[in-house]
Amino acid sequence: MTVTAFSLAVGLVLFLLGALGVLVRRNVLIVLMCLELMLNGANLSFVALAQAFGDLAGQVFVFFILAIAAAEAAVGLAIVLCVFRNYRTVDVNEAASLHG
Amino acid sequence: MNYGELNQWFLREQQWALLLILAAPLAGALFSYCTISLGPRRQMLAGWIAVCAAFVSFAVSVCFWLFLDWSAEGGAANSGVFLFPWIAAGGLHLDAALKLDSLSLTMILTVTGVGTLIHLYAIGYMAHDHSKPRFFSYFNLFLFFMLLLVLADNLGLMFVGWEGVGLCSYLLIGFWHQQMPNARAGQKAFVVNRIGDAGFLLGMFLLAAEVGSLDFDAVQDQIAYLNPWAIEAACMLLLLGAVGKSAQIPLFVWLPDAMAGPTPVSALIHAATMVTAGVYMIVRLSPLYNAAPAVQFIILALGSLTALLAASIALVQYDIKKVLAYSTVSQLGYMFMALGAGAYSYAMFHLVTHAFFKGLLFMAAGAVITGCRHEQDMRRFGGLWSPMWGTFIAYLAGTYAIAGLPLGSGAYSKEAILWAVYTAPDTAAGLTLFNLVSWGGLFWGIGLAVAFLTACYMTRSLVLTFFGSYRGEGEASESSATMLVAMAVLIPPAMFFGHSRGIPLLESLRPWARQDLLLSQSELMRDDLYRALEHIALFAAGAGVVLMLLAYSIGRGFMMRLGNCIPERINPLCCKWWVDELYEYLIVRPLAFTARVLFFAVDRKLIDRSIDLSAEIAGASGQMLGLLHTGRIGHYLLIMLAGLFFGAAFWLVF
Amino acid sequence: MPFDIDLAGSLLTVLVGLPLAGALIVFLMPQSRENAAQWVAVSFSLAELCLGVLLLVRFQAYLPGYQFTQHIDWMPELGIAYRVGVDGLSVLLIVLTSLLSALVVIAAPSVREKRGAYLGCLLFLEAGMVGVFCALDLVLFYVFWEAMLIPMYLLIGIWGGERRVYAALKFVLFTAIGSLLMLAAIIYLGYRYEQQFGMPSFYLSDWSALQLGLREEVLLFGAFALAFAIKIPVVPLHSWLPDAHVEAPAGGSVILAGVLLKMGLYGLIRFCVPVFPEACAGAGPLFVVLGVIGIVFGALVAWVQDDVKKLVAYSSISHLGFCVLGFGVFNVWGLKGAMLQMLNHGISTGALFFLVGVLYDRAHSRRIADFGGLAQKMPLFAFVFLSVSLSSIALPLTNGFVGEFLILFGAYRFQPYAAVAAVSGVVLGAVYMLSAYRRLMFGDFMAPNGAQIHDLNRREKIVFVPLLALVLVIGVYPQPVLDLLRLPAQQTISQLSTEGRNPPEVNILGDEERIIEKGRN
Repeated sequence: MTVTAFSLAVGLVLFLLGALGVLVRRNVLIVLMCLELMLNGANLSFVALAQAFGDLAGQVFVFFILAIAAAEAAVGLAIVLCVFRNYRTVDVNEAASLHG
Repeated sequence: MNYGELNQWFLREQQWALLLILAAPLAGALFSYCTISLGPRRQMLAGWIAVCAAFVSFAVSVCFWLFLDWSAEGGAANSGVFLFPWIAAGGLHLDAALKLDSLSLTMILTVTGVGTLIHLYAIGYMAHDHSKPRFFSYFNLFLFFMLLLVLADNLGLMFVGWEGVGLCSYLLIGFWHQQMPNARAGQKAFVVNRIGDAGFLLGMFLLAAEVGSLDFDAVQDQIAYLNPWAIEAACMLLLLGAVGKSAQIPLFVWLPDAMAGPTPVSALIHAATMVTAGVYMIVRLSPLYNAAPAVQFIILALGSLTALLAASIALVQYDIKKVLAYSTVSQLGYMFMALGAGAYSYAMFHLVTHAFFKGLLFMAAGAVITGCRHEQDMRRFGGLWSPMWGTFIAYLAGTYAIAGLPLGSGAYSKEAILWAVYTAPDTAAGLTLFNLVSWGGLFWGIGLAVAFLTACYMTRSLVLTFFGSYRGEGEASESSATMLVAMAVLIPPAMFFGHSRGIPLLESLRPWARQDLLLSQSELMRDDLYRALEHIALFAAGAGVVLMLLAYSIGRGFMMRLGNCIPERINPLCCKWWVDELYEYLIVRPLAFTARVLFFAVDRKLIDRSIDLSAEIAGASGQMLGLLHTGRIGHYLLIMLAGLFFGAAFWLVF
Repeated sequence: MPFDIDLAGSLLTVLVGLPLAGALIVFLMPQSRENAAQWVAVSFSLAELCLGVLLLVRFQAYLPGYQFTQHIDWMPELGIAYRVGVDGLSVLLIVLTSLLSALVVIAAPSVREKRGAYLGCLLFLEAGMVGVFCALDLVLFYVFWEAMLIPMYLLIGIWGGERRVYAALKFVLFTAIGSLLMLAAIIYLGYRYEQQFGMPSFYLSDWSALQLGLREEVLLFGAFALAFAIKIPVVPLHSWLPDAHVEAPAGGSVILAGVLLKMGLYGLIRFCVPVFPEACAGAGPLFVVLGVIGIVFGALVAWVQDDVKKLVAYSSISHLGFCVLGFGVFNVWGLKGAMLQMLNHGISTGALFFLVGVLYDRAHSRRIADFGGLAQKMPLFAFVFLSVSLSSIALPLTNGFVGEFLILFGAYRFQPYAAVAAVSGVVLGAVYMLSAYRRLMFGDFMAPNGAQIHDLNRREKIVFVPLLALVLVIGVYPQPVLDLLRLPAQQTISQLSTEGRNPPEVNILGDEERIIEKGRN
């Protein structure tokens, strides 16, 4: 197993773990952390593939994603704070005002 | 200015005079309404304004009669004035134009003459009413529309007057509108008349389409070129209008109800003038009707049936005004018989005499009613000849005239009509009934029976009201001076018009006479048939009077038993032959039912509901799709991932 | 005089712009200054009325074509321009619009809440309506047509009765469905024009040169006609009208019945006939049938109403049925009558809705059964009501008669049976109108508890005087109005018969077949 393949496998596992967490966990904070996990899974794949193809663009993407992840964490936490203020809970299933 | 100069001056200014005939009552209507702002005592002014307005019209009409030469052998005088084009569209021209010939002169003299007297009478009759301005304003307005109807020189303008008098009749029947039955009667009159008017409208359209004009002269000129079918159809449709206005079968039901109005209204509108508008219209279009023998036959049949039916109902009425109302319907039937027989001048003759004696009878009846504290039931009258002998004389004169007793005006006009009907050309293609009697003979027989019945019911009402002993409560008192004066003035014409002025009237109406009836009085007297018919008619009338006098003096008990042997509920006479009920169950209720079905079932349930339903379906499908939105992020993500997966799979496979 | 040219050139623009400016001013005024807003609105609407009368006076009835035209490029690359102009029909309708709007504004103080916004909506509406009646560019027409919807929606939805939201929504949805189809048809026609002539145009006069396939023409006509038929409304599409009328405030009902309903027929005459002559001529009998159905249906249904406003609404359907009938017969009498009846209906039904408003103002009820004997306490009101009812049931010497007479005569010339069926409307009209009048006015006095019954006040008298005067004047001397309508009617007929490739009068049989027919006879 090459380094590339191993890194991609780890990235996939990270991504799937994150996705599973997003789908099943109800605490918003953990959902957000799982989102980070997914992003990092994607990052790992980018880096690995950049290494394999010798293309820097992949690594540049990772920097963008890191920046966006930081912004997302900031906005996301702010939203979580608002949700908590309004609903007195951070359970995502409780904040379901938009259901049909 | 001597007479000749006056004559010349009038001839020069006759167009203005013609306008004045119309303008006076219109102005009267406006001014008498204006008195509403005066105090209640001074509102009596309204009545005098109205009388003056009517009298001005009458005076000008008399001037026309005096100053123009109506007896000219070749072309009789006529006068006309063009005001302005009223409706002009696509080759159809209706002008506001007036025309006066001997026919319309006869009519305006009657209308304004009787009208002035009844206006005068109304001052007394309405003395204690609180809405005098309104009453006299409507009354004068009626006169305006009636004169417009008569003077119009085309059918369109005639229709204006036609509907206008209908409007005034509606307003005046429901004059005391606090009582719902009065208002209902007014509405009934208007709606029934509207049915006739719809026919009138269609007839106008037909004529306008075929002739291209609605001017009476143009129509007359074109008759020779018209399709016979079109003539019959136009006559039939216009007849529907006449039947509505002149209360003939099948549209006579409104006239008895119209007695809900004040008695002067019944006298002027529902006896003397407006109801004769249908007769006038047919006389006006007589050349057309002469070319439609089938319709003439229908008119003859309708007229005689109406006369008989109404006379039979009048026999058992107890309301004095209802007796007179049915009598009016019956007499109008006579006029229609004359029209059907083609004897238009005789119809006009009877129209004029009828206006006099029926106007008189109604005025007398009104005097009785006010004298007895607004009681109308003849069972509560009786013996009134002594407290109100003036009224008694008036009623007696009217009864004498209408019953057709010798020398009364009714006798002349009625006998003339019966003669014309008997000698009517066999319209139904020479067919005779069972090979025994001609149609003319049959209708003459009906007419004779009606003459007998007329004498009967009028004598009955006279006896019940004025003879015997007083059966009402309180004192009966004589009416006011204006009412008595009005009645007194009308007694001579009602009694003697036929004798003294009948011949000149018929002479001036020569263009509307049936050719074979153009006999002079001396020729008539030598005509054996005429004399035989005359004697039979006089005998029938006399028999009716004598029979009733006997029945109500000696045969009282017999009459009671006769009355009791059939319960009122199933007596066809008391139930007025169930005509009202027939209309109620055959037309009014089914129509109302249809309207309800249309509204509740079709409009609300079908149309509106289906539209709401389409909105609900849209809403419901939105709701269904909304169920996908659980509000749980997990679900959304799952759907997103599933979509991603299937999209990718789809992309990879295909 | 340069002033004259200038005036003639931009009078219509001023007519559209003036109420718009008034609306802006009124909207911008603070809510507390309601009386000032009232004065501003009254003066703007009266100025508009004066300009409308000026238009009427300066309009030359004997000249064919459009007058007071103005053309300003708007989106030249798309061929969309600001083009306005009027003919006799539009002049009458503009004057009617400005008159009714002025009267509604004068009567506005009976509105208690948010009167400033109410006045603003009315003025905005007036601008839209005048715009509809003078637009000659189809896109411009569509803009005005839709712009008018907004204030009407607000008028019903804010100042309406209990079910106002339902009624407002129904009104807007109905109209929008039709007008979206019309928009699609307009865009398609613009595209076809560019295909055929190489340059885009939405100008009405250009469009009459369009060559359309029969199928295409029928479909496009259908889209236009549906939008207009909903607005008229033709019978199966009428169900928005009773609701909208009942829920709208009195002033809204007046405008709705008096002006908005005319736009459907106006659209048919102005746009459908020149652009789709063939389809129009083919649809004539359909309009006749729908018109007769409308007349009878509206009259019968009006008869069984207990809500007086609903009764007037259904009577509108009956009257508009007469207009549709007159349009469908495509002869000069029918068309003239229909055009005149549009004006007449605006006057008489507008007045009827004012009257119902007066009654509602006093008693807060519209149920006929709640009232009785009003003639005793409100004689003037009863008089006005009677006069207007008589005009509504087409008594001679009122305006209604002239229109109905011409329509019925036109119908008779087209097909006597159509006239026979339609004439039943004359009888039924008397039935429902007079029985409502009897139940309201006659009998013992009766009114709902707490009602303050008093006769017309000065403001209300001001409203009714011009309407009654018009009823009488048009009834007695209709010739000036008929003269105004002569050319529009003739023009419509000539468009139908010369531009249509299959004019209505021509026998469908070819010449040969006709000869054979003759030989057989």
